[in-house]
Amino acid sequence: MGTSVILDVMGSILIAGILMLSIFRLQNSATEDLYRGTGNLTAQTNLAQVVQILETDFKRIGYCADWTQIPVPTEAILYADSISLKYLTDVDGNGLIDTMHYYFDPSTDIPSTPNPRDRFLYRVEKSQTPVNINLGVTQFKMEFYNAIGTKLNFPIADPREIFSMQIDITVEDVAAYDEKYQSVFWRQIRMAARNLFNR
Amino acid sequence: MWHTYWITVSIILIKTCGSEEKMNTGQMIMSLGAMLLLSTIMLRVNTANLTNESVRDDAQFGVLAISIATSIIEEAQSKAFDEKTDTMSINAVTQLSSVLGPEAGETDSTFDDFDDYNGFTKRDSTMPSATFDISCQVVYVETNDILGSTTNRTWNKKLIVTITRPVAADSSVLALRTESLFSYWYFR
Repeated sequence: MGTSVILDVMGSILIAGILMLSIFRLQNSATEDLYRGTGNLTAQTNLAQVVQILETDFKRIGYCADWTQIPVPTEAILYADSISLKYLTDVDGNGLIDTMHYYFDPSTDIPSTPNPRDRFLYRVEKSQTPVNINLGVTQFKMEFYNAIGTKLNFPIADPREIFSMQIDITVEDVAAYDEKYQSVFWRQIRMAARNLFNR
Repeated sequence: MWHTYWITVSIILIKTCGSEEKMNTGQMIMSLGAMLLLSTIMLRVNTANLTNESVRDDAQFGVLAISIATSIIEEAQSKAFDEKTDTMSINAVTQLSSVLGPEAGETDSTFDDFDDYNGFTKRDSTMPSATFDISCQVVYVETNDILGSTTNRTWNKKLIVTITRPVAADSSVLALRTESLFSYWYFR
């Protein structure tokens, strides 16, 4: 076997190796892209779900089918801090006052998901067992403002001062390719109680 | 790029390390054709990946734009229907403001009625990953044509929120345009 043949074989192996590497990289890139797309869609869907749940409940702060039960809507919020909100509402629309409590546990990781940052968001209706919402919420933060737009510092001594609130939510997919988690952010400023201002 | 690299390497190898019986023209053309095909496929895959990334980004910007728009609408709806209904009730449309917009001296922090948002513009740089420009318009609408607008004073006003995303110093792309109606009603 001549030198030139050996060089031919080595050259072929080199080129084949480069080709294989290129194909593997291509396949890896395509797979990652697929996972990112799916993860992003999942995160957005989960965010929409969380926002929908919160919107449904928060728009009823201070609402009661029998308005005489909550004659002063400003008194509907019982407790508020950056990760917790407790208020009066009428969940069933039956004219009876219910309490609703939302809180976020920022310290305990959800063990069943690979994402190390996702946490449970809890919803407690009346005095029932807390329902944990596992939709990849990694941040849940609230800020509260008074009627002239001044941010209220915690602890809020008098929740009746609350006029509007800002809710920041970040949702990530619970599992991701190569731990590259897709993140979706939502920030909304909303009135504390819609019944307050009817002019 | 890998494909450019290995095409160069291949050509060098073919030229310098060829056997006594050199690769003939047909084989050379076939090899180059195969490489070209592979290069094209790689480019197309990369293009598809970038397009997907762009679509994902647009979707995320859309989510942020929706959150901004709903916040603006929520804020606007927390105000009085009209400057004239801020402190008293009225019962004739002729009592409503004929000119929509903020009153003299009013700024966004002192807006007190819904139509103060007419002509309101603001740049929001607080969102992660993008800056958004907000512009609002408020018009009167007739109940039988809520998609349009009217110059007549009515009990219904429409807030049109447009969110754009600046992509260069002198250009921007539309992220969202949404509308919300607000009607005058008096409770209790």
